[in-house]
Amino acid sequence: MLGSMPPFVLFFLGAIVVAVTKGAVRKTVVLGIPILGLINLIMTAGADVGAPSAIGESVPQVYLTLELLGYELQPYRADKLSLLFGYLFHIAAFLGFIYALHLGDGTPDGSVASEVGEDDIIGNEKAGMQHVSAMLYAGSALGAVFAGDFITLFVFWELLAITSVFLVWARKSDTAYATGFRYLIIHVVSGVLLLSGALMLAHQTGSIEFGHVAGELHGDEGGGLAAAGLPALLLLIAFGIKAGFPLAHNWITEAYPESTPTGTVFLSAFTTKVAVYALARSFGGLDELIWIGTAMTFFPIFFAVLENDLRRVLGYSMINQIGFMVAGIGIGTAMAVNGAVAHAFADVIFKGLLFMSMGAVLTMTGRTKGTDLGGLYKTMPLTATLCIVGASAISAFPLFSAFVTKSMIMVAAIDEHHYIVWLFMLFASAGVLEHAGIKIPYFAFFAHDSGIRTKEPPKNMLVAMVIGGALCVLIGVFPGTFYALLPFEMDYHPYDTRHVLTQLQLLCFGALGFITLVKTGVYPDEKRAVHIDAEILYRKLGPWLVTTVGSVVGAIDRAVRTAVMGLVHSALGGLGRTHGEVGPLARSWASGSMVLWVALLLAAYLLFYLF
Amino acid sequence: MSGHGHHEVKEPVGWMDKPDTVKKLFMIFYAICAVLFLSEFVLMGTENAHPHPLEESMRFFVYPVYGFISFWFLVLLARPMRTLLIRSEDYYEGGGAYDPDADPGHVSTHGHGGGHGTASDPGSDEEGGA
Repeated sequence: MLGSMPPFVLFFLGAIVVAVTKGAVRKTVVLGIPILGLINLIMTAGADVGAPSAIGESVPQVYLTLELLGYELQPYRADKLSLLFGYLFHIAAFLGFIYALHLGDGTPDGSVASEVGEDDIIGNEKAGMQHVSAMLYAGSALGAVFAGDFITLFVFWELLAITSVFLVWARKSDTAYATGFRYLIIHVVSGVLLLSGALMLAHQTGSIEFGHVAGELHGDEGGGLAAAGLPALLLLIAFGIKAGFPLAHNWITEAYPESTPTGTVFLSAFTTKVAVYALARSFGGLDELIWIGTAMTFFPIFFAVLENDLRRVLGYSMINQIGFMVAGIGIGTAMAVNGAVAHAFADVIFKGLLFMSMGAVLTMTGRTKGTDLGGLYKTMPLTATLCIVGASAISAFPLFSAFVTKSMIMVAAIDEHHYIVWLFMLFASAGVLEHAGIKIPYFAFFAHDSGIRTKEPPKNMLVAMVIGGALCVLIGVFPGTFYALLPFEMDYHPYDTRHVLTQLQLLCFGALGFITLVKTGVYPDEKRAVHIDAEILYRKLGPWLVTTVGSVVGAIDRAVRTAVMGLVHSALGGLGRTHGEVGPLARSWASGSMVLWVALLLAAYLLFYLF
Repeated sequence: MSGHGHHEVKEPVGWMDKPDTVKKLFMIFYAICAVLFLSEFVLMGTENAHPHPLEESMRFFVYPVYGFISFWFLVLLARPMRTLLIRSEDYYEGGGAYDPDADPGHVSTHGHGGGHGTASDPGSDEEGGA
């Protein structure tokens, strides 16, 4: 049976088993499913797929087709692009489940989370729900990347939202419930836009194939968003919402800090990367993406400097990293798209590791704010070390993963003469070092001693972090092996004297800048506060608009009603006066007076007649 | 730092509590920076396969200068941005402006360094030391 099963099926079946089991059996299943899935994937599609058809090299393999209303659905289609994400999502699920293995086992030994009222921060009561949700969520992500048509993609697109929101709700706080609902609404809207775009596209072209929709790849003069029309625009916005495009990015910074320590690790792995995959497949070479991506690398780093909640800092960091990927997809050359998807792969691992280290801190202390933390290196030295490995990887130090992935995008930008974009990216690279490379480990584990005395997190969390850290280093040390998995052919060698030295210069002098900023007191303190971002549109402005417009409309409505009612009342009053019980027109007349009136009328008639 | 008698647990002493160690790490980091600065002479002898106009016009010390300035630019722009955008923690739940007097800053359960905190000890610049 293995070898031909769509990857999502195994995870959905696994979720059913997880739902009805407990203890050791459940633990075996959650670890076994990603391993089985990976074997299934290697057996099915490891050998015979080529690059995506968009680049014009080879046609993807379709392993399953269904018929729906005259359209051919392809629930399982694979090529090198989808396979890369397929492998990645299996690894991410495996690491995530190792990290979450202690759920349901009670409060971890040495945790002081109860000091701040976070007795069950990890959601022990919701352990089963979190496992089922994560299993379905990973399956939905796999379903989406192996979808061969937009309808299948839509189904998994919505499932991604519906299954993952439980990871936010598992936190059980009022804020988490509210955040979860906003998260759900935003993602359902994205799905609706996707379906609308797909149906319009099907109407125009007669095809629902999930392929390239915005003209040809790089170099095509007739391409671009304008030429592709409304369906492409709707699809782009749908993908963009999930990818955290500017103004649509706050679901990331809202939901990630609100989820459980383990839930956030899953959340950070799948949704945004499915969106990056979808953009790479449908919009490679779209010029607009270069600038959207550049904006995404740029603005979040300012918020990250100011933000106090360290998991929210990582949320901004996530947007910044996706910015590099989106820009790479926009540049659209083989190296740029390879760089984008390779960076997505590396990001899931190193960002996962950083979220894991902050999750470990949250589990053991109940806190993730810079103002509450510090000095944890004394009691959590292993977690601190692993966090620094993740921080080094995201900062793109040589021998770590981002050094060999992000550089492809930057080199492609120069090769394609996007010089301004490159300058922004270089600035953003320094920004990454500031918030993820230095701020995260510094404020959590060093800085002021907060006096919190705890222990290392449970062993399973440490194991997951060690594997994540090892992968960050392995990718960085053996880039050739990793590059062989990438979808397009290219010739790129990240390790030369110039690249290593210039990168070290950039990073070390950036760090020197940090030291001077702190020593001169210019570096801003952490504040217990929020900083207004685009979320104000739907969290403040939207409700305000509804309330204000509602009250204005209400006032007008009341005035009109009062006026009309006044008219009706006066009309009724008038009628009442004439036709009421004592009204002259409703009075009973004596027959004598009637005779008198008739006589008078006849007399009048006679007078008119005579004269 | 462990001068408070009511703490019954033995306070762990980390390397950051030893000023000499911190100072040594700083010196190592500054030495690395100096070596990297001088490595510019090595770069002169290498070919740049993907030259950027900035590298061609500025020629020397492009990356050290860019890295250093980027950090200052980032923070100098973030500070006025904070003045403009900062609100109280419960802003979205009906709160209003940020009140600096109500913010206790860094809180320590340890008994030292409370009150308004500043990132005063950059001794843990682990990236540079790495």
